[in-house]
Amino acid sequence: MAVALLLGSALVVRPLLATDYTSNSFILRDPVIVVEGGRATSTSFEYFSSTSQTDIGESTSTTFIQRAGFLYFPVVTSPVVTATAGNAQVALTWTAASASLGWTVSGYEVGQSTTSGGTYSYTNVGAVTSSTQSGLTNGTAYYFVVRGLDAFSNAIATSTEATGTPAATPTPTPTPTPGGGTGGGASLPRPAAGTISASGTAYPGALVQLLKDGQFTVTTIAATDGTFTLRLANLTPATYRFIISATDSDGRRSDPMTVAATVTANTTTTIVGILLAPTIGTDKVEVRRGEAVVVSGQSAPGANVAILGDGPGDAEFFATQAAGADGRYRYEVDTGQLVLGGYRVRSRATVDGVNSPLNRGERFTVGERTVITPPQRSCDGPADFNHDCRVNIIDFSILVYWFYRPNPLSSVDLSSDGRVDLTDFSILIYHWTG
Amino acid sequence: MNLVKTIMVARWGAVVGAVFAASVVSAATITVEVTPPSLRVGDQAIVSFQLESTQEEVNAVAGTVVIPPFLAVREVRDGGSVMNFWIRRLTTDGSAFSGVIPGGFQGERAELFSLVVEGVIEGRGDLGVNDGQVLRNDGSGTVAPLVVRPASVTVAHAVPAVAPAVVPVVPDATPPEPFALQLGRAPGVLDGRWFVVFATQDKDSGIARYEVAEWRGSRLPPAKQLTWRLAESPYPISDQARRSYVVVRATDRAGNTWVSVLPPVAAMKYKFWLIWAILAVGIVAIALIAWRRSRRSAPPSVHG
Repeated sequence: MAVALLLGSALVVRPLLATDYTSNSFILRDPVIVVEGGRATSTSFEYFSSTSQTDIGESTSTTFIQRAGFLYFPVVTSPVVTATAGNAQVALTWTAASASLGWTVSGYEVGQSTTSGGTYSYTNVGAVTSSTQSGLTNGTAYYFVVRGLDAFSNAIATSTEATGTPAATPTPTPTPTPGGGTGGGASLPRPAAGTISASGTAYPGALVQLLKDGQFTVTTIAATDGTFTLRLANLTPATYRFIISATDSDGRRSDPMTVAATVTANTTTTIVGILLAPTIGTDKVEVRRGEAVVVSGQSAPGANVAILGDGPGDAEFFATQAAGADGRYRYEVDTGQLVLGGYRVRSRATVDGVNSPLNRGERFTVGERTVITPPQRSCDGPADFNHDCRVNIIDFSILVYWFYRPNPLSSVDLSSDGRVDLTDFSILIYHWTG
Repeated sequence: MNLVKTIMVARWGAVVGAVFAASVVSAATITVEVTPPSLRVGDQAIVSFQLESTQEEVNAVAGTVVIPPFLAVREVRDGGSVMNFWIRRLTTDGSAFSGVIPGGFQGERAELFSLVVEGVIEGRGDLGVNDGQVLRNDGSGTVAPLVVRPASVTVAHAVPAVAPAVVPVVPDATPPEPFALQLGRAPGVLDGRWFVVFATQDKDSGIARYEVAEWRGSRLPPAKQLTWRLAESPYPISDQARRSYVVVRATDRAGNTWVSVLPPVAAMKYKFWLIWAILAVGIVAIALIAWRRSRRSAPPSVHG
């Protein structure tokens, strides 16, 4: 009967193949996760099977809680919200929450309150990244949060609070009749302008940069707690794409974070909740198996930094570290447990329940020798064709010159396929610094 | 134990496989919409091309627009495009386009560009994109799956008593966005000459053209006194000694302009030495005047 039930369950459920695990002294072939715990030994190894199963589960007593399963370590980024106040309304836009390791974002809900910190009244808005809260009272401050929901409508990510105070639409400034230019400056006065304010957390003392539509605009220095505020005024009312990035005190650049925001005349549009991904580096590009690789970088002081590595086949490792008061974190990867091959290690930060994106990471190889990572110069990056330590409109223009020209220089052929085409532009834009 | 191993591990509900297996990613889409979808000969319509990529970040888009022969393209509108930089900008004469999005794009529909088309003869067909490419923002430029959703359009015969419907002109009294000029030089580019680079956006009607002028002199004259030449970035400057002003004028499709000026690089050095020369002359002049005054006030010498 038990065999029949077992066979029957195998027909209706989707099986998950296990894989071999090896070390210097044993091979564990097709390990089976059993419901009950167990222990198997030989003269050279011990194998413990846990009381958990592949799905997540929780066992509790008065003295402990055991949480089992890799799914207890899923990752999801928090939405970054932009609030633009209007006449009796506040328009909200937010970045999509990105999830992995067991979570999927299926939709969002918007929480609204007239008190900072809530209690919020939530409305499910579906799988969109914008919503306009209307029917509001002009002159009253409203506070909003956006939550990402999984397939079961559980809130798995929450943005920081954004605020907006609706106001009656001001009388537009009259604009002159269009005409030709007169040289030496703009031909026409610009219409009533708006302002952008972007705030968030980078790393202590980091140089934080804001690009508007891909071009350099303004910088600031983050405080000792990593927080920063950037403000850009005199913007034509329109929709812009802002890129925020930072360079830490060790000279490492963060991954860029992109936020689209609509600027309204005579209004300050606020972007809140920016949490830049940690910077990351490894002390070795190749390591003899058994030696340690040090993963380090900077994040917000006290952030909980999750470090994830993936390599050949199903090889993975995971750890968490608390960033110090100076924002630095450090973790030693024991390569004795890793198979030979190339690995990528990434990290993300969590501060007060808000998750940063995973960074692009660094790569290292577990092999037969150890090669120390050479000192990084900020001008060594690919796509910096004129070696000015930036990848910007000059490098873009150089690539435009070579677009589909025969026999391009190898230095501009970023994809090494003998021609300059859209692929090379994509690679250049990936390294964009503005 | 062997029986359990043979049957393998059953999975209940959750997505552990997603941890190890490759996840299925929805394709990016380019959606074409035409308003109105039915028109008469002489009528105009708006055709919008929109990019959507909700599951992954993309940063480069290219393709060729497909316009049925019974329609004529009267205007290209790319002022509100999600693309910040064009490699090949769509024109009324051409059909190919390509551009990039610094920072990447992941989200719901965002406009690439729109066209104002006019029915020239009766017909029925689809508006779409051929050879579409969307590349991932992954550092390798890998091609993302792309689905193109075309739009159907019908042009019927004109009714003589009815005035043709036209698409309203985009009201645009705003100059293009302010922009900075930069000089650059790179091996193999324009024979190693100095060039000027520039790019900006116009949020309403879009950029129509760029023009460059150079002026050698102490003061820049009004724009109408400059000799303007149509230009694309990178543009080689004539004065390779960089002693001239470089002026770039961006004009949008409504005729509004924004002019950016780059002062002469070499002039800064001349100014530096000129200032010191003036100071030196001034010091010498003061010293001379002081000396001559001291001579006049001194008592006359006595002879005898």
